[in-house]
Amino acid sequence: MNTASTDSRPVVLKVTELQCSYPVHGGGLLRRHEQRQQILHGVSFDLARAEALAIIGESGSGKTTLARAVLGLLPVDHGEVSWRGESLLQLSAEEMRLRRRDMQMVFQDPQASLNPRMTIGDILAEPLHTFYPNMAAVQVRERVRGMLKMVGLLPHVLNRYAHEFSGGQCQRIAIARALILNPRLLVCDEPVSALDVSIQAQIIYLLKDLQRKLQLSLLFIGHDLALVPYLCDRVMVLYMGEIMELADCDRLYSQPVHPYTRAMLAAIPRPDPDWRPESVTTRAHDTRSSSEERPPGCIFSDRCPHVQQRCLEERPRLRQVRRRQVSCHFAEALMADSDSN
Amino acid sequence: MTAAMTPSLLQVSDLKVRFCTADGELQALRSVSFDMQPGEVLAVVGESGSGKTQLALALMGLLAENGSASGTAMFQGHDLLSCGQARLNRLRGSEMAMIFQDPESTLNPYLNIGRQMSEVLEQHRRMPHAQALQVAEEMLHQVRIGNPRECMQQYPHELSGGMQQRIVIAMGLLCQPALLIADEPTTALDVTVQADINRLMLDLRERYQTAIMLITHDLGVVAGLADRVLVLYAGQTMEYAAVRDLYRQPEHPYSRALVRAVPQLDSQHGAGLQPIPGNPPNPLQIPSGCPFRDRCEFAFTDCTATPLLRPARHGGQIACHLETLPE
Repeated sequence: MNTASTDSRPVVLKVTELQCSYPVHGGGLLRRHEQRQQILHGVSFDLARAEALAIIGESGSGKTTLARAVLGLLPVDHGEVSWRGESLLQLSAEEMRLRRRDMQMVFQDPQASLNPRMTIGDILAEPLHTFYPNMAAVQVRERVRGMLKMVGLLPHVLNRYAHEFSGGQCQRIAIARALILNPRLLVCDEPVSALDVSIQAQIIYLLKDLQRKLQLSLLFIGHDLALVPYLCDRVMVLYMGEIMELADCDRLYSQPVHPYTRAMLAAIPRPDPDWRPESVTTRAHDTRSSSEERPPGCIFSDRCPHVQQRCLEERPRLRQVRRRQVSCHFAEALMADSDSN
Repeated sequence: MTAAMTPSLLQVSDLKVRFCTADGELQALRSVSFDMQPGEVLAVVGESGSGKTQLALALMGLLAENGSASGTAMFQGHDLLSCGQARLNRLRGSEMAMIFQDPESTLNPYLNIGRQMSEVLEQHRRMPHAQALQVAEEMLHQVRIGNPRECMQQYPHELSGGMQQRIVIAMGLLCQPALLIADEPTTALDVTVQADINRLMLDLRERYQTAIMLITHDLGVVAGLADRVLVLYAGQTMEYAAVRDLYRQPEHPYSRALVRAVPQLDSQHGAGLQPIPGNPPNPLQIPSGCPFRDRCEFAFTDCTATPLLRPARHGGQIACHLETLPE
């Protein structure tokens, strides 16, 4: 299925029918045998050069698993991940390690992702020492200083430690570390979720600025849709390991189609004293679904306000509906409905 | 003093919290005063390091060992800051309860939900076990848990974050406390679950007349929930106002910046996202004068002197040298 964005930038990352699972222990104490819980149920997408794609989902949706699988940090059961035309799943550990220069990651908790015993200067120089052991000290220092400037920090931070900085500053340092090897792909796993709202926008603008300047491909993983349009070109809405909707941001935000996308948008709190959140979850069973079987029909049917009999019996396929991809039997009807409103 | 003279449920005056650290004295709160009426929802808003969590911990008598609180906090005729451990132990859990950001670390992983909930009632209400279980089950129903009976048998790790936080809220409400302190109760949860938990807290306030102190860094979350808002910065009150006034006509530059920092989808991309420049000050090195002046777009010469808290036009209070807040 063609998932490329509308313009003609070359596709750098191609993920096809990806399936991943984790081992879980089940069957009680005596009948302990390994079962596997499937997290990703066939996820496909493309990412173009200098494109920013958001992967949005609630906890348990598989968004972090997807990111880790793309970076080769997790075994993949089925499917394909190709990076600039080369399959990553066939590579040896050492080959993968070298490819990872091209693909770097920024994590959710900036303080926890920085070594507390290393100075900021050492943290930033470490990737260079690892991948370019023969690089001259002067060159390393120059590169580190240049990178600091790029993320909006002053050179005097070099001799200090992570605990001396606020969350926002630590995230700038983590971004600098991720970019020091000149990667082509940056994967950001909830990069602002641990930060104050007042600081989140700073980091979003910094990422946007760097992404444009360095022509980075960006995967932005998040649990809500609020910040996505400020950073990303396209957005994938993931629910329990399946894509519900994938579209350009402009299209998705002006006309969300999938009922789950709509629920996600409706739940974003608004700074308005007269606004009340719409209740969209009220699931009868909210337990972690490790042991539960997936329903034969639509995975969202038990929470969907538009559920029909067909949704319970037949699993919808992800399909192209007016220049977006939606996994809903009634996408056309829902679109027509919002067209007439 | 009798409780009848003051209609407030909680009256905090000149609360100061200090910590002795290896790097010197840290003033987490520098004179904060406010009051709460029965059944009121007060939002305490601020960035990391503003002292909002220390405020809650001071009231609950849960400050770290190197911390100390001064001032008064009158609650149902007792000063929480000086009444002693025995009294505090009787008040905590029965008259006041606190819920924390991370529900998983609040719950005991070794006890099933029924056991840890009934324990609260047996301890504080001297209720027989069987009856306690019944009341606990009913409370799970109140926080909209689909199958309370099954849930009572489960252990925390078997439940999702949203379920766990519902259970923590249910536990906090078991003894029908007059005051519930919630420290970022939905920050660790998904937005859809957050919306649900917030509605739930409003419903429970209606039902039990519980006053709720809601601590958060996100003004988006509290808009539809709070009656009044206390904005803290570097341990000081910046603005204290009714919720409508704070959002519609904030008088302090910091409050307005916090409101504008909330991402808004309805506005044009880019225009709706306005970060506050810079970072909150290190609590060990709070600058003299107005603590916000380094990040304030309207700072002028007067701001090197500490602004006193004064009555605001909207009837609340602000600490700012500006006569009027420019557009």
